[in-house]
Amino acid sequence: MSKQINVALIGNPNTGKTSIFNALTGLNQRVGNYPGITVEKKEGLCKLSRGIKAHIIDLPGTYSLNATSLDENIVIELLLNKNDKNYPDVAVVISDVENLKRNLLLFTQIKDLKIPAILVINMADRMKRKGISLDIEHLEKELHTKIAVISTRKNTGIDELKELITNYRELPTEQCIDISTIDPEYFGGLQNAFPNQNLYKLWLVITQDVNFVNLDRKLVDDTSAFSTKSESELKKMQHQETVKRYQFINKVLQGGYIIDATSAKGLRASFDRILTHKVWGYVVFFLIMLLIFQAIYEWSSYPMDYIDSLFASFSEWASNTLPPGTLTDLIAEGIIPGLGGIVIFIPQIAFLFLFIAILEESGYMSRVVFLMDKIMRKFGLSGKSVIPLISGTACAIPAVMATRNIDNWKERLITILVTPFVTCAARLPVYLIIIALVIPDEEFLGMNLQGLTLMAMYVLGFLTAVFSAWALNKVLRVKSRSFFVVEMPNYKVPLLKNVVITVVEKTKSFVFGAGKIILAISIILWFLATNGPRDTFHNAESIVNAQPESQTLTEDELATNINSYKLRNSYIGIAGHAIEPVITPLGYDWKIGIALISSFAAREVFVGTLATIYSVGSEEEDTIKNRMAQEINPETGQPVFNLATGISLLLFYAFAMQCMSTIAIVKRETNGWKWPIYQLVFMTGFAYITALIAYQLLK
Amino acid sequence: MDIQTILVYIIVLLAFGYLVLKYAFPKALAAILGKKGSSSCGGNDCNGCH
Repeated sequence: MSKQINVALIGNPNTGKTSIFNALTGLNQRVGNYPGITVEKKEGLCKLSRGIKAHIIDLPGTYSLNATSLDENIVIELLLNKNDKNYPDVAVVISDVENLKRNLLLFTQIKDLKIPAILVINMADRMKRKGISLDIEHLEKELHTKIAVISTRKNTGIDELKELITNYRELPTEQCIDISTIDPEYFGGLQNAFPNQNLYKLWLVITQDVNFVNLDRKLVDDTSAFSTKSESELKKMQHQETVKRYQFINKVLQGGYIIDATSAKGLRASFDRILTHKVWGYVVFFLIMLLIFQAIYEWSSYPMDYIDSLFASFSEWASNTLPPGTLTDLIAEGIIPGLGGIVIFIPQIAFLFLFIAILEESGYMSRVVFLMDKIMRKFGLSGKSVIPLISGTACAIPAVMATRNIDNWKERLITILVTPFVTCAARLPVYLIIIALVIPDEEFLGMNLQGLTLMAMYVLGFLTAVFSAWALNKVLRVKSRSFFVVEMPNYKVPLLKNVVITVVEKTKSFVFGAGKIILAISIILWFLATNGPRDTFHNAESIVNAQPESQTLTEDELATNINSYKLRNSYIGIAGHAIEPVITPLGYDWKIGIALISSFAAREVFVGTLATIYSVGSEEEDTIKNRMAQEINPETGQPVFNLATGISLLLFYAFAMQCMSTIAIVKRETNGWKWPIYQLVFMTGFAYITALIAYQLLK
Repeated sequence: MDIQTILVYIIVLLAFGYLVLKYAFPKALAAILGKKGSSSCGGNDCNGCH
């Protein structure tokens, strides 16, 4: 019979826990060369020898067991609760070979909880370049553990780690330091009261009391009677504990960890001088952004046009080949154009995530975080808000979740409220199609004007987030701010495998996540556009034929008029015309109005919706871009998508909270509907007013 | 009513049902689709699709 054991992966942020998790489980969790990737625990299975299965739990990064934020609490709550079903049989503590001294602080704390612990020294491939040599035997003896030296980049050491996990029962459980030496009287009293309990565990329960959130207090021993010292005295003792641990670590490393500075090579310092410079740092960042947005437009235009025409041909093929009937109409006019509205953006989305993955993997993203921290402080936010805001460029949902590492509640709330302003990947399809329609494809100062406009939209989103934070800071009055420590990882040549995994996974989730919603919405919209409640819909053909002006029309023109009349009298047409008075001042017709409503589910639904509506109203199969470009306002005779309408739409989507999933996650993270409703009302109102002003000025 | 129209009605109902479950009852949808744990938006394995 196979046996299953719990294995917890624990370590400081950015030590490669998730890479080791992926190597052990064969899963493809997202990794990155910047801290804060894991904010919740992730789980997977690993088959070991002798029929043993390991349930691997990847925990958020923490510097010590003295937790200060929600994600760090997850680690300590698990380690202190033996009744938790995930309580580890063995802890795998992951360290980075270059930061071993700092990483060992956490290791010694876990050892003192008497949990069998294996020390992993990761990133071993850098040892030679950095002039580091290890005496593993010495370290194992002094730390009372077994050590696995691993390089996830070179894929070495994983088998040895699996072997150590299999034989976890042989691991010594000796403690690293005797906590009672800090204050023998206090700890003696505590131990006497709970003679069968681990003293260090009791100490952690007392000192971490304030941070427990999810832990059922009945499941841990009641130590309240022994919290006899004041908070400041406890803090003092915690400091003494830290000093004691570092004394122990220094002694251990003296004989087992040697750095030969003469053989160390590295350009890190030179790079950092430029990339984090108060002027050049921002110049380099600006140039990199410029390159990314130019590339998104230049490189992806060919595959985008190809996909667009492919879907038009596919739609035509379905219409001509399948047996005539309602289902064929649904496929040709509803499903295919709707899906085309998302698939067309795969190249741009893939390029965006490719660049983000390279920046993360190379270690540059942490330098960006450092640069942005300086700006953030001027607007009343701490650097801890930077990671959520930068994550928001991919998606607001994980970004809102990433705010869990902000310990000050008001500061966290402000970050949650402003993060949806940052341009997420879902806005990209809307921006790309509108910019392609209303901004000329011309050069400006040697750069593509459309690419520059796209970059301006990203800058606008970021600035709005920062200014909103500043305004909220004045209203909510944040008194104290969390301190911010950013890990500056080494520069690395991005690992192709990690980059490919990120691009494929992100693009796949974007297409399949949004694709299902778009498909469902396209089907419903098509149904609502091809059915109507009144006689005017059912008798459309005879009504239009009876009109005097129809007598002079060609057959094609007459068919177009009938389709247009039917669409206007369909369910969707009636609903669209009902909301028209509200959206006309923004320069939108009823069809755009329907797209605005349907894209409330997710922004990227906008293009698919228009593709379906225009497809129903049209006799010929055409590309989405052409359909939108050819749409004429019957009252003005001008294209519907002109500069004024385009800018108005861009601004509306830049500011509006058009994402139900974000509302749901904000509700979850703020424990109520109050803040998501405020957020929705403010963002939609702000979007409406700015879009209105833009259209009225430009029309 | 011909077979194509019947199929269209079924597809439309399925699409509508999917959206209602997705946004109003995400846990029920995960159970119907046989997804283990929470893989919905913001779940442990959220990849940030939108």
